[in-house]
Amino acid sequence: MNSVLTGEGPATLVVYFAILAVTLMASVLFEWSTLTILLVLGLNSMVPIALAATGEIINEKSGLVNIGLEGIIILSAFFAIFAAEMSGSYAFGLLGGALTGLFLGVFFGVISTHFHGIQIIAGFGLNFTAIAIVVLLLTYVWQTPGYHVLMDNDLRGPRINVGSSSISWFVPLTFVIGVAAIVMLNNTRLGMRLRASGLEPFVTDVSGCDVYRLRIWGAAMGGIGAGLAGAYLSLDFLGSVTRDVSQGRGFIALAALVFAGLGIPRAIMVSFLFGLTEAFGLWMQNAPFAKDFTQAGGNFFLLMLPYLSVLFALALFPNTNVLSRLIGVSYQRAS
Amino acid sequence: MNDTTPLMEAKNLVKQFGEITALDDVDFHIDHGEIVGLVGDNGAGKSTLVKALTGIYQPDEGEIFFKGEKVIINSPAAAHELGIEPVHQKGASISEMSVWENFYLGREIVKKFGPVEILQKQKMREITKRRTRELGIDITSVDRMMGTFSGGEQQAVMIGRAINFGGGLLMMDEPTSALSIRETNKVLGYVENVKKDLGKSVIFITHIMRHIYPIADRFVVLWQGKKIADLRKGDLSLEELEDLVIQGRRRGTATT
Repeated sequence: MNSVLTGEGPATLVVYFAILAVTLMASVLFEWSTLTILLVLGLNSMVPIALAATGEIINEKSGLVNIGLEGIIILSAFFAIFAAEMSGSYAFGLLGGALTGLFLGVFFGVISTHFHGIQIIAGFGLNFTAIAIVVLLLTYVWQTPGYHVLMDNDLRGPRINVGSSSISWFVPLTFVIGVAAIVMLNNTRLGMRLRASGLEPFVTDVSGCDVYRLRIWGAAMGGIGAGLAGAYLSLDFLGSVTRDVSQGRGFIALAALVFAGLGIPRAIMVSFLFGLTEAFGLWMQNAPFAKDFTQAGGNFFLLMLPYLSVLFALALFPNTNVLSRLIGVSYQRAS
Repeated sequence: MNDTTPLMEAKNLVKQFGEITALDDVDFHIDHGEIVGLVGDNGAGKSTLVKALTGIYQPDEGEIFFKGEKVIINSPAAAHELGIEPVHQKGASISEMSVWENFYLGREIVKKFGPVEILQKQKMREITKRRTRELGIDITSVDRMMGTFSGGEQQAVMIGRAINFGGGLLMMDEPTSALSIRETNKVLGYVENVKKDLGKSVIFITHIMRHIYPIADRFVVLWQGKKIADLRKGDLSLEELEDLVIQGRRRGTATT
């Protein structure tokens, strides 16, 4: 009960998801079609941010800060759609995206531990090279620098019908991953050591735990989160890949987890806030009563709305949880 | 192995940091059931020596023997394998984690479900509670964050941890330097009990002679990276020890 009130622990996520499910069911039953559409759209656009944020929370708990989420999402989106079309299978597409994320996460982890790289620069590098590589690969594979649309609709993920619209199967999966991540962090040996290596790497090291290996594990899980987010964007949400497939969602995920003070339930709530305002913007763009507003340039404002909402949330409700003072600082046992 | 073989022995240890020679050809040994005071002023090389013996630093030259056998200690985990347990300076615990988590970090009790290792929290809480009480440490709740306890209480928990998991040898790096007088006396009491009741050996580093003098059997004095004295307690007084540490020589003798 206590953990539900503070927004921590797996119970919060279960309660949160139950409330969402009941609201959805009620809006379908009572034919509040607009509310249904908004909620469904909101849940669908919550997924990539929530997945990337959940993974990165594990990474940051272990002591690394990867600002290259955006880059990982973009590259994974490409490799997911590429793997899906090559193999003719949605599952292999997902695997392609997740493995791309895993590879980049481990790469970042090794750079930030064994090679004592500066994490901000490594993350920056990921973001910039990812865009360049995706443009290069799009040109090489599909002879277009612009975008590639998924050829076969069978390659898109399964959906769950809710009234006249549908949510992706990734929505419940996101909540399951959230609960699993919390249980991992709080109830397993790996999770306890990950948290310790983020708080006091020296103490963790002299306790006989390998800090570098733990941090690479954290970076790997962060990479998989962003990789799944990318795969979801290209295979489920958009059905296409472009160089800006992510549209800053990697950075929104970073904002969400800082806002949440590295708490997974609250990070997912911020992701849903972003998703809901994005859905609201999309809905307003086509709403007949707002025609004058959108035609006078208001649709650009509506596109801005989700980003603005996160910015306001960050400013109005500053996070009171103190992050580890050693976060993002590379660790060396002795020089 | 017989009792005349030292528990741990280091021969001709050299450790350099750039231009500075932190350890200059130092020999060191500790016997079974012995408390050795490793003393010296700041920068004398005390911490460097203990860090070389617990796998934090790699010595540039020299050999280490444990129970008569040559060993290479290249990580804290390797030191733990031998039964060497370090207690580091105050602050070497995790303030943002609970007492039982600090007690069990790196030695967790888990139940395996395939590859998943679930923490047995209840078991660890109970054992932490029991062990700390046996040591005479009064911890109101093992679930409280470590940072909410005083320096002496934190140090006591970490000593309790070292006793619980350590083998025959504890190494304590300035465990009393940041504590109040009352807390210092308590910690010194725990250290004496480690030897008396459990028969373990303790290397106790400090630059405060009056802390270590009453409880140690032998003193090893370091001075600018060199070992300048290795004396049993009966051979010198507290005042003589203090002079040795401060001036690098005994009162009334000429500098060499």
